[in-house]
Amino acid sequence: MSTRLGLGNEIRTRGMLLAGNGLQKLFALAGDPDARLLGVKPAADPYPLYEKLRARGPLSQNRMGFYLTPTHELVSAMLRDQRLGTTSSAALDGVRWQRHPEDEQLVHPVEHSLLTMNPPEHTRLRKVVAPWFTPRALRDRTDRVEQTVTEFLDEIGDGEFDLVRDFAIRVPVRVICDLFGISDDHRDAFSRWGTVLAGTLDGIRTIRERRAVRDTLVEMTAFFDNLVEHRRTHPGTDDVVTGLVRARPDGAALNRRDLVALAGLLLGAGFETTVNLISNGVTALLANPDAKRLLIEEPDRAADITEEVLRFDPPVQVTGRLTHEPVEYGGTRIPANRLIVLFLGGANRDPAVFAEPTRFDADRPNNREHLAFSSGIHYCLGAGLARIEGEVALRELFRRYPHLRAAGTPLRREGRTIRGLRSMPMHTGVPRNVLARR
Amino acid sequence: MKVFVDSGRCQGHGLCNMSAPETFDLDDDGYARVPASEVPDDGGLRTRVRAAVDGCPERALSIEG
Repeated sequence: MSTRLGLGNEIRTRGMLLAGNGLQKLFALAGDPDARLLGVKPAADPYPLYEKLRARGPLSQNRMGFYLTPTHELVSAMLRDQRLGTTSSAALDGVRWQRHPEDEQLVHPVEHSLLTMNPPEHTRLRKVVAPWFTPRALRDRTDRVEQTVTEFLDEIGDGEFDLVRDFAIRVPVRVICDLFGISDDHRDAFSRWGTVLAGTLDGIRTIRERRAVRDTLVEMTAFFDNLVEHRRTHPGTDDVVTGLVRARPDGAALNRRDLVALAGLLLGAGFETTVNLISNGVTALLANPDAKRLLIEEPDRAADITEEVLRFDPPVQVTGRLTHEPVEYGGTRIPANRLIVLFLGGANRDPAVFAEPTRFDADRPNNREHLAFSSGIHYCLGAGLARIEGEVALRELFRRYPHLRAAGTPLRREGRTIRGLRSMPMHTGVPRNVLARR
Repeated sequence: MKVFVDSGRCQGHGLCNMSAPETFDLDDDGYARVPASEVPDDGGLRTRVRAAVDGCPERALSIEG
């Protein structure tokens, strides 16, 4: 019986995937900028497409009935509008990763967590984890981030390396493992899980992805179930999982699903975004010699440079909100239960807010007005930690290797939501006078 | 011009402190405080305070006058 159910489900899913992909592909062929932004094959460079969308006006509607905006004013206002709520892409496109009835026991760190919750559940759970991310808690972590970065740079030594594999991914994975009080021995598994889940943030597009998501959730759920059980019997001193196990918001312990989802979200969000902040930062600095020189000559400016990286090329390009009730923006009435697609990457290049938005400029007076970390109640919990990691990683990398250079073709990650590099072959660089003497 | 922080809404993102540290202080847990609510008409300070108020993710800041 369950096999037949599974098969029927599979066929239906295949049909939906084909139909959805087919439509998007058709729109993309017709040159529709939003189809190329939201379609199956994401554009390598989405920024010109945001400008095409902007030229249509602050708020447009696409052929699927979604509303879209790339403007800073609307994205910022909508993210802070309590009449709009979050929703997971899965709830919208209807393609589920569940294949068997027992899959209901699996926990998805996005669909079942804070990220897609609305108040009051969101408020209750966010308060539980907030203490690990206050400025004071983060100040205590800065030294450890610096040690971590130095350790990995020592391991890279001199010569060729992959910036993503050997550095950009390792730093945030170690930082988040420290927060969990676990070793980073499992980093390859974490990185594999992160890639699958981040790649499907914008929906499952193929049968292969659907299988990969389910397999990942089987592994991840087992890992976190075990970790939570372990912390119940062997509590740590200040790790976040012990904190989650002990938490009694409103007098009651968190249930298993909330616990596992929160732990999974902290792990995944902890490195899947920061890895791209680092790789996008290195990409921007190599393409902008003035900014690179500034960083090398004045390492204290690393915070400004990190902020400009977040504005110029944010790791999360797009998010969405669902209208809980009819709303009106700029004279357009949007009915209840409609999806609004908010292009954070477009808002960050809005000429109404940022002068010469396509220019990387660390001296920009208002670069902190970017929306890379979203806004409103879902403002990135780990923003402070990400800032420290980005700042220390970029500063120390270029301090150690001022002649850092590309040594091969970088590969972009797939997916429409997350923007960053999958692989970046680099050479640590050798000063020219040393080369001449050889 | 006076500025106020609603401590019930503040979640400690610290953005106001980054925009205008002269006006917005953070307590030991990272929540915003305004030691002196009157904002002097000092060069660009009022502009930065306004930007902080507009940019607060929680809408915890308000201006009077």
